[in-house]
Parts: sequence; structure tokens; C-alpha cells
Amino acid sequence: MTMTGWDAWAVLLLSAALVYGIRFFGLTFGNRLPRTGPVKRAMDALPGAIFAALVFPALAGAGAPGLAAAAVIFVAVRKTGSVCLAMLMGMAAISLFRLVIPG
Amino acid sequence: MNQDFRLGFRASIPTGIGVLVYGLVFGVLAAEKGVTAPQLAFMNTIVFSGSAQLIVVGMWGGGVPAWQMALAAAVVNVRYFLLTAAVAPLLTPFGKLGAAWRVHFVTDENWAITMAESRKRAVTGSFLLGGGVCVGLFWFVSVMAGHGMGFTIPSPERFGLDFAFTALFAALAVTMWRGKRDVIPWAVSAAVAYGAFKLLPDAWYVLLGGTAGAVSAVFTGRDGE
Repeated sequence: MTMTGWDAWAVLLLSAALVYGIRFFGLTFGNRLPRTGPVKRAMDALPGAIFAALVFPALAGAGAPGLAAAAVIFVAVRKTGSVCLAMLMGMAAISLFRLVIPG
Repeated sequence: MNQDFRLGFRASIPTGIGVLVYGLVFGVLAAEKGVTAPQLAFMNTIVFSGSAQLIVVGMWGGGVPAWQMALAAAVVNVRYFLLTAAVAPLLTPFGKLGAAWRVHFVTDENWAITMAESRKRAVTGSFLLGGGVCVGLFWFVSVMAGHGMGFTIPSPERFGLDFAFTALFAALAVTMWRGKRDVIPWAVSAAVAYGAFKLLPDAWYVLLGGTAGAVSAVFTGRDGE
């Protein structure tokens, strides 16, 4: 299923406006941001937490092969430091695991 | 185009090579998702953020409402607030308007290089902009090249292609792991996301999980850890 017409352009314009808005806000109001305390801790934890939220349901949805591939990806990133290589190894891993692990 | 612009451009070329590989992969995945070349070119120019674009393309065609896709992209990029705040002193000499368009060229890569350079000497906003233009060119060209190579493969699951986005997101997540202090935020985030994924429509799970994880860090962490 592809996105057509207005939907697609609406997504692009909206995300561009929001992403630019964040850059502009940092430029303009960034000096008022607390450098310690709860807000800082939440901001620091946010990027990782977002990725955890994004990835976990997808991994769980891929079943046992998905979780096993995740372990491969973890080790691959740690050992090689390359995100792209780890991604390719994860894809290879899941296609292998799907042959040997049911469901 | 002054001296510092050129220096900034040149200093960002090594990271540009890294951007190139990532851009190629992203372009191929975008083609798989059915993003058209004009849409992708437009996105590279006006969104200009790898992580935000990846989120949007990951949800592309999944029936998620436009505003939720855009919001998810924005939430991943909240950290840009911190980056642009740090370089604000370099941009303010250009005046309000001059700073306002230059700030669009702040990315992780040229930001890091500019911050490193600023520890050695008094760096200007042109250095930052030169780096941003360099990263932007590498990004634009590689994404479009990847998109051009894009092809549709019958039975993609045989090659794990249906798992490509999940694998890429998982690999990026590993790079963001900050050690023990992330255990609780990530566990909370994953649990809330999983529950929301099962119970709620659309992409609420990303926003709810991420927010819950970040809030849990307020109660479990200490400053300067």
C-alpha cells in the first residue's frame, strides 16, 4: 500500500515544520533550558526510550526468530560499531532462524 | 563563501562517507515503501534529519494518520533542541534571519565536528554551515542513488527484507544505549509500548512508550551519572 496525494505531502510538510520548529526553538530558547534536574534527565533518556518503544513491539511481533536476530544485532553493533553491517547481519540472521525455529 | 565555510566543509567529509552508506540503505528502503523520488528529494531538503526521515518512511503506507507520523518524527528529534541550543552563540552574530535559515543545517555530524573544533580555536557559524552543506550533499545524493537502485523483490521475507526496518532501528537503539542507567527507562518504554501496541490503534505506542520511558528516568536517575 502506498500513500497518495495529500496524505503523503501532508506528512512531509508537517514533519518538516515540526523538525524545523525544534531546531528554531533550541536556537531561540535553548539558553533557558535547565542543565541539571528532572527535565534534563528526561530529555537525555528520551531518544533511547523512543527507539526502545519503536523496536520492541516489532521484535516481539517477529516471534522467537525476531528476538534471536535482535541478539545478533546487539552483538554486531558492539563488536563492529557499524549500524549498516549490524542491520544486514540481523536480516541474514532472521532469514536463517526462520528456517530452523518454528513461528 | 569564506575560509571557515570551506574548512567546515572539508572537516565533515569523513563523516560524509558514513552518511553515504546510511543514505544508500535509507534510499533503498524508501523505494521499497513506495516513497516517490520527488517526495524523497523534498523530504531530504526540508526535513533533513536521518532519524526523523527514517521514522516517517518506516510508517509510510501503514495507514497511520499524518499528524501522528509527523509527531513521532518530531519526538525522535527533540534532542535537536539541545544541539541547536549549544551552537546558538555561533549563529546569533548572523542576525535573526541569518541564524534562522542557518539553523536548518544543524545535524548530528557537523554539530559534533563543530563542537570538537571549538575546543581548539574560536570557530564561527560558517564552519558549522560548511559542515551542514557537506553532510546535506552527501545525504541527498546517496539517498536518491539508493532510491534509484530500489527494486521490488518477490517474497521479501525469504531475504529478511521485511525485517530491514526493525533491524535498522534495533541497531540504532544499541548505539543509543547509555549503560545501566538505561535499564529502567528502556524496560518501562518497551512494556508500555507493547501494551499500547496491542490495545490502541495507529502509532500511539511509539509516543506513549517513549514518553513513559523518559519520565521514568526522572524518578530513577541522578544527575551527572
